[in-house]
Amino acid sequence: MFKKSFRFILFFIVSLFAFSTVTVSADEVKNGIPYSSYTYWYGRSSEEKTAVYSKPIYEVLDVLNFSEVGLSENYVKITDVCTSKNGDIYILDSDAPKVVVLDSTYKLRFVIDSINRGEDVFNFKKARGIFVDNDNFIYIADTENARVLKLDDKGNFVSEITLPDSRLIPESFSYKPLKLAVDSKGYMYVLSDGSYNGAILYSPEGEFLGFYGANSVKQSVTETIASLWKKLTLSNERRASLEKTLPYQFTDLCIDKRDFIYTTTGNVAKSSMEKQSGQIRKLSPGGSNVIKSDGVNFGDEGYGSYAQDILGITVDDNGFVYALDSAYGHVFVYSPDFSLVGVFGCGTREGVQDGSFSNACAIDVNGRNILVVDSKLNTITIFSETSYGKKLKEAQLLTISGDYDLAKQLWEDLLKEDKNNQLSYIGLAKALNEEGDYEKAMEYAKIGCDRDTYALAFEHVRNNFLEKNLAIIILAGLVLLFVLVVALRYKRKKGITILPEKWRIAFAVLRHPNDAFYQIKQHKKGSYLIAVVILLGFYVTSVLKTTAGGFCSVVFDAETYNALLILLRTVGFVVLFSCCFWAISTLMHGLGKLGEIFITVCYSFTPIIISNLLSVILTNIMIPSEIEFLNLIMTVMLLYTALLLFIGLMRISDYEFGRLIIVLLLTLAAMVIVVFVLIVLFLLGQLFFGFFSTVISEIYKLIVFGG
Amino acid sequence: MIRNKKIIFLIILTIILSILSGCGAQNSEKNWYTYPKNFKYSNSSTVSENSNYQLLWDSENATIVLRDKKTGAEFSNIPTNASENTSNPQVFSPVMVSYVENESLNIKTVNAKVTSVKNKAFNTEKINNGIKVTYFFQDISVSVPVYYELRDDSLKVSVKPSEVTEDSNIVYNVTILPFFCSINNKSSSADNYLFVPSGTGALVYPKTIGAGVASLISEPVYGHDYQVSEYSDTLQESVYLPVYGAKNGDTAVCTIIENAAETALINTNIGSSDYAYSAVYSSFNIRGSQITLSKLMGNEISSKTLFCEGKTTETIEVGFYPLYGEEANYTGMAKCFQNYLVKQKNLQIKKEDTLLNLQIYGAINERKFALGIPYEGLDVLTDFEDVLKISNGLSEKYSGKININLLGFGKSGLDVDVIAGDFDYNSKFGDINVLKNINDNTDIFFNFDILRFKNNGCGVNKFNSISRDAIGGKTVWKDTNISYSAEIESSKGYYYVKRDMLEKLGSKAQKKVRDWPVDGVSFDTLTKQTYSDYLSQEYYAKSSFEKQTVNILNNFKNENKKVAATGSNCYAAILADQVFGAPLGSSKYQVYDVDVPFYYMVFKGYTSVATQPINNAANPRKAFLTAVEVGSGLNYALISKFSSNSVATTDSIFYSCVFDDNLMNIVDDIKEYNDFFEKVKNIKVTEHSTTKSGLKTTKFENGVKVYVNYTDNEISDDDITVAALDFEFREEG
Repeated sequence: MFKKSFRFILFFIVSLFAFSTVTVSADEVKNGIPYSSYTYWYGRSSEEKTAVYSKPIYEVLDVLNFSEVGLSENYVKITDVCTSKNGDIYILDSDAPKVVVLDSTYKLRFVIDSINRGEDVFNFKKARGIFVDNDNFIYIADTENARVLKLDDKGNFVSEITLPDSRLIPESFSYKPLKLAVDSKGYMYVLSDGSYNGAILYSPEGEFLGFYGANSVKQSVTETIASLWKKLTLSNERRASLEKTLPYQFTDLCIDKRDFIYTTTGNVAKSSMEKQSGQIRKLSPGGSNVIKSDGVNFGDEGYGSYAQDILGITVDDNGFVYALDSAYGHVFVYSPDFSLVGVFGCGTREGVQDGSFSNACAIDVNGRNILVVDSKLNTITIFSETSYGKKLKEAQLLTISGDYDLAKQLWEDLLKEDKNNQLSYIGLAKALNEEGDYEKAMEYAKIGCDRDTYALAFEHVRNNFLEKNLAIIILAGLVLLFVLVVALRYKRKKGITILPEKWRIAFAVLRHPNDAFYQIKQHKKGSYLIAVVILLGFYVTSVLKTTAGGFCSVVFDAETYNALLILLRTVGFVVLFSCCFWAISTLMHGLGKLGEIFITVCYSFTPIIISNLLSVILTNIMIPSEIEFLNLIMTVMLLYTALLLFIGLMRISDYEFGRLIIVLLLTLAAMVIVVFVLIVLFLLGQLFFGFFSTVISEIYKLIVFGG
Repeated sequence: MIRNKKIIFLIILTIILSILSGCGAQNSEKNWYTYPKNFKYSNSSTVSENSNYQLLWDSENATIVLRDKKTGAEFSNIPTNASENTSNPQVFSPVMVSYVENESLNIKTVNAKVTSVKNKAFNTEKINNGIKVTYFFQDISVSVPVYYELRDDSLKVSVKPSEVTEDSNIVYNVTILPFFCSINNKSSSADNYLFVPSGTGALVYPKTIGAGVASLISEPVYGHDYQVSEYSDTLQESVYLPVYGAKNGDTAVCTIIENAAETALINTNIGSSDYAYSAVYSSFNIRGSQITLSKLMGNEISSKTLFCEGKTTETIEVGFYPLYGEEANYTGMAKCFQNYLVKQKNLQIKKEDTLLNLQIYGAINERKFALGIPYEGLDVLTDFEDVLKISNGLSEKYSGKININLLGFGKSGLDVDVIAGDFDYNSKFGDINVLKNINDNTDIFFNFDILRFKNNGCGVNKFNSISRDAIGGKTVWKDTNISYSAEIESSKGYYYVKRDMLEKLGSKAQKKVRDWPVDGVSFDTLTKQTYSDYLSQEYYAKSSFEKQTVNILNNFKNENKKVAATGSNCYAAILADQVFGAPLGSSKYQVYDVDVPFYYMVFKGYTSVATQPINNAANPRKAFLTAVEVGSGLNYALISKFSSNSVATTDSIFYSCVFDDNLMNIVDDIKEYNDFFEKVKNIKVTEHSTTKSGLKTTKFENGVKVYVNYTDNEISDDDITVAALDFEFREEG
């Protein structure tokens, strides 16, 4: 049993240091590989994307260390790998220094451990990047020696490229080439450490052409205002001494067969809790980004122990892009249209198992295999496509190229293997839509959250329905209209009143607000029951607007949907506003009573109920492009509600326009104060509850552990 | 005023008395370390002898040597010629101790060679068939008595945690004979390797690895302690068998942890140029620990491992079994371990191996809503009628026996809620009596999770039914984020029930299934997970989990109910009529060289074992071949209908499980496998190896030999050609 003194020490230590005891689950190998494969679902919820497990698209083929490739000594530090056009693999051991060349089957071909320049022998120092062009010339980013070495395919010196003499390059510029790439025409792009101007571009003749494709500086509104303010108020000297916000430098680049440049920007977050975006860009030869990067997070959603660090990128012959997150050892596979195909790999800087990494630092493609360099373990992990992964990529390529027919069978097979992959549903929906099976297409598009394809298919289904049933619909409409007209005329003629007076006044608010509110104030024609019914209607229609809205236009996520929040935003708002207005108006000589104010506020919300109902109906029968005017209707209804509220409160409180404005402003201030006080009380209550439960728990421990 | 003073006086008096009573307790209860004035040494070189072996005493290194009398082969903790290759004292140390330093609370490790043996600070004492050596670790004031006993076929080494004495430094882990199973890093890889029981088992060949690569892999026997918080985004296989070994040319050592295996870790020290030897060894936690995370300034997290004071109660026992000639390999180790299980753990031949095994999942909880108000509702993936349809559908195509394990058919489906799904099935699955119509050739197992619960019910509540961690806290397990493998703070956690209640909960399940038309029960968590409970010293550091599980399973066996295990740990597999979800490989550490199907080799011919679900594997074909390689059963995870809601589930099991999608594959697999399976059904494995060309071969007791090709190319070897990703078998004689 525990002894008192030790327990005392332990609990003392715990109470001193422990913020919380965190437990997370460790899992077992479930499918023969020691990491989870997953993908993201887009548009499933109001959040940007949701991670879901998926069938592995890649598995580990081998982990190459020095002995596996036939070397007698271990690497000192591998920093990069590059595959040539003919499939040879060039491994850069930066600190040895040497380049190990393997053939496409990962057998040792030769080692370049010294570079000859005439009679001189010299070497690179802490080189970080290697590239082999289409003519098998080897380029080494000789980082510490501030140059790029160009070697022939045997490792003989050809030339060196150093920092060019140009007025475009600042004097303080420190040339430390990190990564490089050469396009099919011989233009060379070099990333230098600390270069925020983008890649340094050289002509095939080695002439400096300028900087290429720099990142832009992102500033928040407050930062922009602050910067503007400083510009206006500070002297030139002080302005010069201020820190400048510079764009982030690129961390890697690669070139596809059409000479588009893909870049990564690495970690751009100040902490692991900051959301990152725009890590990948696809630049045209002219330097402009051709994909939507701004605001798009190409890494994982959410937060972990470390900030994501996408510092490696490569592209295969089919245009699939592979991005490496060094912090977590994750490889993201994107199709040529930048749809996520899947994610694999793991490690979080401590990986020692196959497919996990301690310091993943570079990535490249060798045919259908992916190579990932770990500079801490000095290994190269070869991932090979699973049969599922191969099929998935093939189907996605066919879909992108519009070969829906060919893709359809593949998607059907893929769906049998993995029902968690969104691409399968989308692909199949597109194929079915093309085939003319619109109802099925709608079904798959809905599961795959592909609103565009759903809308296309839905339009066909709806139009077909209308074509078949237009005559009946028109006839039914005319009959209904006729019945209504007849009924109204009959009612008028006979003087029949269907609704009680108070209900009529409630509806009259919409048409004759001034008179209706006068009746409510002067003749007590308001009703609490009707007010509550309207308030409930406000809540219910607000819920329906989200939960029963059309799939094309409304995003509803049952996982994150919070009915209580809607209740607070509707009923809570009305009650709070009524109370605060009453409190302020009492002080400001208003004549309205609390009950009258409540009734007035509730009656005024009738237009919003109508707009909510309209939204539910229209989003279910129209496609997004047809319901643009819905927003207009809703804005009008909102303004009309405000107008009703204004008129009603003026009438009930007997205020003039200006006074009412002041009272309303004070009411808003009071509402803010009340909400603030409620939050404080809630937090205090939580703290008290926490304290109380801790005391109980400690007493329990004392009893249980033999105190 | 006077009253206030009285109250203050009483409070102060209470505090003083509490402190004094605490001190008193410490003094009276502490097992104080005593340092002897004079050490006693054994001078005799032979401490024990029988017809096979001599147990020799090496006084210089304070360790023992096991000598085979016929061959003269010697087995010792100190590798042959060690002094020529290394001077690292750890290689010469019979015992290592990890302790918590009193002042800093840091964890440190000392070896007996430096701290005890070098200074001749040890005592010896003759015991029956052996010698007791007490190592005094002077620098840290700790003593560890170790018993070395000679047996007919092996050496038994034991440590009683209660006899480990200490002063202010607290011992938490003891390592015994760390280099008894070792290989020279520069020896030939053809004849030398270490065997580690990670998952199915893995071999480690001699190598020297560079800096940076993790050279020490530590794997807890029977998996990690679910009472201890742990963060990992990688997936690990469990150590299901308490056995490891080393092959050195013509000899080998098979080491079996015979008692207190739950508290053991199997450590593999690989390729260190410092040691010059790679070794696999066991170490034992004699105390429980808990990691606490502290948030420091600037969001930095600091972790601290805290230990409880009480020690485990079970005696640590390890048997070292020498093997020779043709037996000196992992096949020999499997046989040795199998023999041990037969003799000591009552491993018996069960009725029959079953080819087709199905894990069918019932339901998941789905968040539904009415008027925007959310509520949890069961989303049925397979009901009892569907189970019948699946069974009948397959029976039409395959006439052999089928085992079906029903998982997530409790009240809360697959989600953890009231313990064991409230010991009842949910009415949404229909009437369980439908299962009476299943044909006689199908055995149905109903799964109960009697370890975990989230809400009160069935006599288990959150107030006093939760097991406790080493510092008295309740461990809460939450859903984890898929991409970061971190807990989702907003999710409602579940707990592990206190260990005292396990057997009672087992009895509840027993009573419940008596009236149900099922052939047996399965316990997926009980048979593969283990955890500590610091409410009772008996359960410290996972101790006694084997005993409890065996009791529960035996109760069912006594009632002639069948038992299925998932995973599963050795003790459960011994008793189980069917093992579902046996591992497909090892934990795949980069320093492990090749996986071997050791797990299957041990149980083949005794217990029917099926792999993890083939349809969920990254490479289903390779998973199928894994089963073929050892003639084990096939296993498929199935549901009847896919709910798009299960896409968001935190479990990964559904994406390829729909029965209709899998039916043809299952039928094809059976067709391909059945002929061979019928030939090796219930037959033990006698040999397993890899040919030079890369074919995996397994020979069975009846002479049938199977050749499996896992590569993408056709392989020809001697008189056999095996197509890519295929197998061939031959019958000898």
